[in-house]
Amino acid sequence: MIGEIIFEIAIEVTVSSEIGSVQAFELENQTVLGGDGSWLTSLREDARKKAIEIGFPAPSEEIWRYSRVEDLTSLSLRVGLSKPIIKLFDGVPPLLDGLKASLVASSSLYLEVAPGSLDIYDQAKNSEVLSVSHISDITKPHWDEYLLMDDFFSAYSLAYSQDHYVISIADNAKIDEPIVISYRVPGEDVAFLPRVVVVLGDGSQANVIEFISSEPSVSFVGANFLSCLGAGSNLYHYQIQDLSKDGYIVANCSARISDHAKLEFGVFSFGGSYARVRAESHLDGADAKAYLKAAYFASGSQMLDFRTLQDHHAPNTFSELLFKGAVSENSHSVYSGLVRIEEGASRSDAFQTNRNLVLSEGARADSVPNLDIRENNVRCSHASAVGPIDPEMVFYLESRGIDPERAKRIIVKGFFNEIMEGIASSEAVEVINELVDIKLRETL
Amino acid sequence: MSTVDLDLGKYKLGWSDREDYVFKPKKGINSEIVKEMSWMKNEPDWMKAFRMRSLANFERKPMLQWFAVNMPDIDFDDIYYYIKPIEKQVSSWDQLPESVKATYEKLGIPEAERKYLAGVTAQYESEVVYHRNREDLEEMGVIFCDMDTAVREHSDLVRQYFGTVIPPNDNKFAALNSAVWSGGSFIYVPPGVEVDMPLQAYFRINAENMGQFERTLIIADEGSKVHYIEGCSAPVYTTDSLHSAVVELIAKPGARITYTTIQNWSSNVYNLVTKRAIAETEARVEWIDGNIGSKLTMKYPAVYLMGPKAQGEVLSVAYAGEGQHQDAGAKMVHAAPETTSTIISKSISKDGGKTTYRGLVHVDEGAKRSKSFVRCDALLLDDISVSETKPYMEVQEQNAQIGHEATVSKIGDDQLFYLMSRGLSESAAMSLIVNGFIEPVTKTLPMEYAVEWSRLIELQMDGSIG
Repeated sequence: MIGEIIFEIAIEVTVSSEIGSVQAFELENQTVLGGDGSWLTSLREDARKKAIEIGFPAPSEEIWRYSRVEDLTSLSLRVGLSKPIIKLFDGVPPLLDGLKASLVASSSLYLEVAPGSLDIYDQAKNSEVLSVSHISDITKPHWDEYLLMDDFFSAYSLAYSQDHYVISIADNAKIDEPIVISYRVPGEDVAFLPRVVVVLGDGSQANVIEFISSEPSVSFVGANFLSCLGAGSNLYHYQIQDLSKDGYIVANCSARISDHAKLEFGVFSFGGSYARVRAESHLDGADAKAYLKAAYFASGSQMLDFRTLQDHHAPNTFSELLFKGAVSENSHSVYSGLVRIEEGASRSDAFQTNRNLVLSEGARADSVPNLDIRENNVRCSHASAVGPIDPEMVFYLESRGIDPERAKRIIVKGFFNEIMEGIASSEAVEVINELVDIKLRETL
Repeated sequence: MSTVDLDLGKYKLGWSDREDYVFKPKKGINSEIVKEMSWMKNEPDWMKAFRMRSLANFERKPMLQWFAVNMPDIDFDDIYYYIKPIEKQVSSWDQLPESVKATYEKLGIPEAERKYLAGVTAQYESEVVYHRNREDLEEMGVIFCDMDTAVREHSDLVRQYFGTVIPPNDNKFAALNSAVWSGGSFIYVPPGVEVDMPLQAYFRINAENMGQFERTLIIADEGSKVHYIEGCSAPVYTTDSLHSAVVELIAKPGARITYTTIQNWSSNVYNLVTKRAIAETEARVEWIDGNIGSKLTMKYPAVYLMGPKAQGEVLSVAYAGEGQHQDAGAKMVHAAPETTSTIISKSISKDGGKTTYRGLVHVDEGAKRSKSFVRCDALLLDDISVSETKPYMEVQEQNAQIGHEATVSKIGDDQLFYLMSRGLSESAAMSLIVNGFIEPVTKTLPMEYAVEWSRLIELQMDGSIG
């Protein structure tokens, strides 16, 4: 940990320059938000063209199979196009609903992102090794080619997102306390398109916790998160989603992992009417590692939708995925994942496991774990299971005097325990456990 | 000691006979060809109408995207849809023309017939040229004949079931088959009858650019039992042939059907087959599917478990060598309570070959206490070959247990070393390991098929290992 230094973060306080807003998902004849650097303007223009080329998704496309994405077309949303106002604060930040004070208090840096504004609370004053910038204030970076993904919402948000930030961590800096990013999602008719890039210098280490929640009103979040892990760096990244039951979210998380770097990524999905997470780990460098986890719990008529990619480009790489979920009432979960071992990625190991508990009649879980292997000197496996709570387990607990409802709750908690155990931040575990408890109280 | 030079890399059954046909229409498909076919076959009007309806479906239906990517260069107008090799069916082996007989000698059918088989239906091009039923089968009331004969002689029975499991509008290739089908087997097993010997048919494609569209329908009435085996081989040609069969199985309550396929088309054949079974209450259907030949195979045997306690099983083995793509799998639909299914898939890729497992397990709401287990193992023998696994699981019932496991691996150096230290050559050691890998499927085959199957794998391996 770096010692106390005088706070001097590498951004300027900017005043909004309003250029209006546009109707969401209508792409023809709309201008993109310009950056100061021409690289960004042209990239955004490319993204807009790409979004037009791909077109709004339809469930007949394989990558959108089972999804309820057409719901989004019925929303009338606008996207803000002004450059955001960025403020630095001293002292204790105000708490958002559902966010634990202990988590915020434990953070080294707390960021609150809302459409058109960013509030920064740097509690540990570690700006020497950490900087936060708006994308338009940086010169062309080495990772700009990774910003544009082959996906409508990614391209769309790149073209139109005003809230696009870059967090850089210096070489060899080890920041133990988490960087907490909370997203304040507006209700009503605003589409919120936050984008965060975390760039880890060689040999550095960071812990990022994202928290996405909203007031009970209709909202749409198109979130994008890109992490670029320098050689030998470590990133712990957890995304916790607890939108209100009218919320829609399409999140893209992509990681580029260099040699000897290690990613630990966890996604925890509980809220929203339709919540999709696409998580991609690209093992670009030799000996790169990725550990991917998820816990999700759907109830009511929710749909929780996960698409993952473990892409091995380099030799001796390792990835392990464990996604566990529960569905209750009339909810629906989808897991679709791909392990791809490219030619040349020899001596790689890739594992992929998806387990689903179906808690009530009417609930549904679809699971599609895919493998695509182009190299033979590898070890790969995947497994997936869908089923109810084992009645024998309930019986065992009942015979110890525990009533059946409580027994089921204990079993579900135990089911998720495997995911919770490996999480680096105990404060994050506390938040996630509470969200699981709320779900259990609602449904069992 | 003398040695014989064998070119094992060359396709073993890859000879081709001089073409000598009674009727050979132009390439391509249109309503005139379909009408002419139906007229030549002397079919009842309902079948002609069925063909015409299907043709309209074929023309209307688009190629599915995931189908189209595998065959960007297929040309439906460059294929013969119907060829009739000799004028009349013959009732004894001796009456067959020499060239046709020679083909089957090479395939070893007479031997097999003498020793094991209950009946032989050998298909040469589109018409069944040779067919014999064992008398005791006839006495039990079992009908086993080619599909064209069945349409003429058992019209009511055929009409009741034909196209009910796989309707012509199911997919583009099912529509194509429904329009131009020719040959294939028809089996009806009366209630309570158990056929203890496997029934068997071989298929051959001979003429260049010749489509083979056989149509098989098996009905096992209540409590009956039948095992049907088909084996395929075709000679090598330079341009691509299309094989698109439709196989429908109906297992009535308590019946049991086992359907075994050994597919060894030569490496220029597109093999696009729709196979589907309906299993009623407490019925059991097994598909045993071995894919070793063809340029591209896309085949997903399905079982629709419609009645309580019905069972479905698919055992699938695929081998893809140079230039081959085996896109195989299985589909299980659980539509009733307490239904169970198992899918076991083993695939081997070598010399740049590609194997894909593509499967679906679907559990309907209300199919309580259903269970399904899927296991896919892939073996990659070198670093230029490719394996894909795409298992879909759709579970709409809470009280159902669905599991899937898959692994991809290579042959362990220690395994090879162990066998080679016992004096086996590298290729012999590899063959042994591969045969061990697919053994769970091989052991379900009747003995002569298991032997042929192991031999085919060895030939494939030998021909390509340096």
